[in-house]
Amino acid sequence: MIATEETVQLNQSKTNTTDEDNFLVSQTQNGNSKAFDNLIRKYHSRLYGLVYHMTSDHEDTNDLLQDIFSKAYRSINHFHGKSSFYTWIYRIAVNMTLNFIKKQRRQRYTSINDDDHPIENDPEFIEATKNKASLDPSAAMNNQELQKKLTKAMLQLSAPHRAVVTLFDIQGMPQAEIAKILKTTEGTIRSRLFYAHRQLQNYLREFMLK
Amino acid sequence: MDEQKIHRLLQLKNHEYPSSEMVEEFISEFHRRQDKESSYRSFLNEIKERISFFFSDLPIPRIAYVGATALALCCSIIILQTKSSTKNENESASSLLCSDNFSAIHYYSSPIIEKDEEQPISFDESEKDNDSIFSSISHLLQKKSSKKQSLMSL
Repeated sequence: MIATEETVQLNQSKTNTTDEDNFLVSQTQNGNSKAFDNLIRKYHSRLYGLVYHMTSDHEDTNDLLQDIFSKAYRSINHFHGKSSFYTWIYRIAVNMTLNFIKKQRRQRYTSINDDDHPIENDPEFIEATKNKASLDPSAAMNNQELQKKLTKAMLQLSAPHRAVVTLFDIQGMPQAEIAKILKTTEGTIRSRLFYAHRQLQNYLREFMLK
Repeated sequence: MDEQKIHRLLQLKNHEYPSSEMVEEFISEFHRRQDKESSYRSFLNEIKERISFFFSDLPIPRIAYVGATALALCCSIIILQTKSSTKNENESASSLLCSDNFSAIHYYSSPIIEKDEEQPISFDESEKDNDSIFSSISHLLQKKSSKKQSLMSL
């Protein structure tokens, strides 16, 4: 019963979001640039997370996001609502990031943890890791190290695998939605996830043995 | 480490988000870029419009474009051919010059024509003849004048 209520609520919120997005899109199509600002405000952080976890570089992420939003703004008149705006803009973001990675072919091992946004000081992160670390300094240290190792391990994955891991594991997107964004089947997504997880396990095994 | 553990670890990365201040900065930067792009695009559009307007006013028949294209093609082919032929000539000349057999150069220079030695003209014999002619004429004239004088005296 509870599950059904939750599902109904989730569907309602989804339709509300879609309606709101459609309204903002139509406003933008009519020349209201403020409406597009609201769309940026809504999707910036999620798209930032997606692009950042695929590139692992702040500057690249910011530049890419600018390109992604400007491309979306330019081609907003071609958006006819066949899919949701959310899927549409995610598809633009994933494709542009994959192209960027193909062009760059560089792997920088800097994480958000090392730069201007230290995750270990993030209250949400502390709260989330409290149970695991149990306020034990060595465990907390291990978590930080593990996060760093995980970032490095993520960079070892190929760009399409990284995209799937980011969308599914980090952003918590359902496999059907990922399949829509990447224009593939759910089976392909599942096999990519399986392969990526196995690779990450292999990379992290060494660290866990220590 | 199993798949579930990895999934949980990766989920923790979901907390890595930029601040809200960053979003506002991002939006202002987005507008700045859009203005720059639109001004650049409008400049290009203006140039395009002017060019199209200029050509639309000219009373050019449609066949003229085809003719001009064909002419341009022919010209380009001719130019390419002449270029290739001159190139070949230059290559052959340079190969000859580079070779050790310098005698080949003689074939390209004009041959020297040896003239016969000119003899000085002497007038010795002819002078003699001329003298005899002149003397005979003067003799005859003298004779004529003496005959005239004798007749006058009569």
